[in-house]
Amino acid sequence: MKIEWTRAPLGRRNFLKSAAAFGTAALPMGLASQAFGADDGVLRVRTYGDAPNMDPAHSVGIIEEEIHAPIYNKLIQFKPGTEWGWQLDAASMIEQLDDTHVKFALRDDIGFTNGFGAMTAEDVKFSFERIIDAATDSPIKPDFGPLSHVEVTGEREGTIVLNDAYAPLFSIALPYSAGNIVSKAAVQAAGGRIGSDPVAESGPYLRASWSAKEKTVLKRNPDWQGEAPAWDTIEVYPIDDENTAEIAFEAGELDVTRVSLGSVQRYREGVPHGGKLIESPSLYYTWLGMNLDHPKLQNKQLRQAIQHAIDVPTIMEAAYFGAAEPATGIIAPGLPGNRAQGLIPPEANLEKAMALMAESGETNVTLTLDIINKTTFSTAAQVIQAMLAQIGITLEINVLESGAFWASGDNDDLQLVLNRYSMTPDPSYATGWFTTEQAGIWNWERHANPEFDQLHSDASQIADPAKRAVLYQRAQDLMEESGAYRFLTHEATPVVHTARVRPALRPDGLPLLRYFEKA
Amino acid sequence: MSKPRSELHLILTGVARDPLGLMGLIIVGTIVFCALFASWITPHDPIGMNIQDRLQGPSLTYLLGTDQLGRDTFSRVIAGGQVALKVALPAVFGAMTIGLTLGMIAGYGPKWLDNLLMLFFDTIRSFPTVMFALAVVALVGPSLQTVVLVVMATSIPTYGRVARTQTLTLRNSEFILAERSMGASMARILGVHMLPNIVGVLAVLAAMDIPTVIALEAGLSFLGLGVKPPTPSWGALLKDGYSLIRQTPWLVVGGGLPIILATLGFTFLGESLRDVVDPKLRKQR
Repeated sequence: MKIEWTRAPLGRRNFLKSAAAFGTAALPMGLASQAFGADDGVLRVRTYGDAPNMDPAHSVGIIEEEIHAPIYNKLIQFKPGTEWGWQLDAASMIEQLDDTHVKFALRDDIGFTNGFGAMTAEDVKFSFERIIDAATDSPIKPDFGPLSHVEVTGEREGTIVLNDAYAPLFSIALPYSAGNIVSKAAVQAAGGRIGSDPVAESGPYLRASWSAKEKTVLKRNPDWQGEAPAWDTIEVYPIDDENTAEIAFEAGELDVTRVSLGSVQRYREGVPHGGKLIESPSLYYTWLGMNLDHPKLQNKQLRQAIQHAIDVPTIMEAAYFGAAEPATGIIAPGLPGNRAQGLIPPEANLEKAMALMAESGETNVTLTLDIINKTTFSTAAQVIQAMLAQIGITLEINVLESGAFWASGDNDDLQLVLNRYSMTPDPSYATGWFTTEQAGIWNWERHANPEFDQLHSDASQIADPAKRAVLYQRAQDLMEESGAYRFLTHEATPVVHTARVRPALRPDGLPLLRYFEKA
Repeated sequence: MSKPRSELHLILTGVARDPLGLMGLIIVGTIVFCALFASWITPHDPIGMNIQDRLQGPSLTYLLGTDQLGRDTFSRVIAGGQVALKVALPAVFGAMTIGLTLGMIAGYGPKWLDNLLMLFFDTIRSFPTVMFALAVVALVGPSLQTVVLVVMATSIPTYGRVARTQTLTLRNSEFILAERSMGASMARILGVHMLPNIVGVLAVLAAMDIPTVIALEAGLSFLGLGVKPPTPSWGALLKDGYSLIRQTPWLVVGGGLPIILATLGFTFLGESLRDVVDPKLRKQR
């Protein structure tokens, strides 16, 4: 059929006609938009940011891992649920032979796309050794700790060889970013580095498209021989702002999203679309740190007075809307080394704090507290300011934008700081930042204790979780005894989802997209 | 015989006769009054926390509700007006004074000095104001003084250029040539004869600049880089309000409404002042 276009004069009347016609035509599109809740085989999830990098060796965190995990395979993957654990993925068998040798065998049904053939032990060796190779300059090299090399013993068999015992191998290295296996042939053909295009994929999903800062689309891998994933398509939307994500969820345009702590109470009362709220403890840790090298903070009793003057439950209520629990240290519940209680109770003890102030002999104390420019931290800082005023300390709050704040590590003028670090599910990842060698880098408090350093080093080489726990607990005691830390919270990860989804979440509430099911 | 009316009286009467000018005068008057007498007007301590009452809606106790720390939003809006004027007035007045002085020197002085000052103005103007403000705040830390200094520094060229143009126009006027031929000093010519002819135009410019400065302060505070907590400011109220908009819309209202009103008020007043000071312009409109 031939359509003939005739030129119409653009007047007010014609404009109105056109607008009416456009509106009528757009109506079904609007309805289609509302019909997102229907089972169209498409799962729509929100993530914090865009994931342009498809090279696991250059992964910088969970945003990229959310996409890498469904399109690549690892020897083992995290198990969804409420307790940390792992399950076999590309490995049909994995076995710790001794402290420094881990034997594995690959499944025989996993292949790479774009004609790069079956996954072999050579691919595993290439992927792991590429990360520890200095030439790769991988930011996740520390995740592999003392990895020496991978020994290939057969087409699909090999042995991971370590220089020392390394407990985080099964909790950080293998099931997280560093554990993703890429095709040796494909990467070499691409010149040694993967960019924004995954040169060869092997997971249950393939990255079908990526629109920068707009959407990543994952589609079922037709050649996947393992258990079929539940969803035909997963659309991942990068939305930084949680308010925006909540509005999108309530409008039916998202199936799953993390929500703000301030909205938890509202969602506890009911989630739209018959959905559910899942509240998981987070691994993040937030604390008030004190720079031990600063002349104003040399008096230990002054620091202890600050520790005892801060009422953590009040901060939880004011800044975290009562949706987060006080922390006992830097290691979250569920991980080896988490302390049931800290040396200093979360509740303030003003009498003790004032007695310590009197003993310290300090008067007219004026200190600064550096924070990043986020409402949560500004709120917490103002609560702390009011609490310290009760024991005669004047606190000045310095609000810094993100770049200036994260460059504060080597700032010798730093006094108090409200800080928050991310975490992987192994306690060594937390204690590693507070060793003497990290002073002035990530150890902003300049905490230097040889016993702490030794505990950190020893604990990462012990396989027995119970024995490790004792060492990490002692390490956190030392941190608290130094007077340089007031532990605040591990926060929480509240996630809402629609009725048609059964999310697969890690114990800390982060999504494992390849395991998402239909309700 | 009736007493001759003062210049100020004539200007105020002229503004009051213009409906928009009157509205601007009322709004600005109200803001200034609230800022001056904030401690008597605020029903609660603007920084006093009461966490049990956090995020409440408007009520007789809390006219605009409360924020996340249970502080009275209405009291913080009133006190925030003080901060806005503490930034805007010194910044604009300082920029106007320095700009006027430099502009007159540029317009009346030797050519090389004119070129040098113009280069100075153009250099400052080449920095985007917000980026410049962010850089300075990142270097020296946020505070009321920093915001005032940044705003003042970035506004000087605007006043300087206008003052220079006016001076260039006036320097060859007959009354200036007459003064010069009678041996008047440069200081006398600039201070006694030129200044009164320039200051009116700059005052209009200043009135219209105040809302820009208030918005800039609010913008920096919105980014968390304005005045330090717990000092209330309209921008900080907006920032908290935006983060907590799903919990309560009243913080956004509390932060946004005074900025809108201040902008409208000062703009109406400025436009009306311009009409009164320059009647020729009014006829053209």
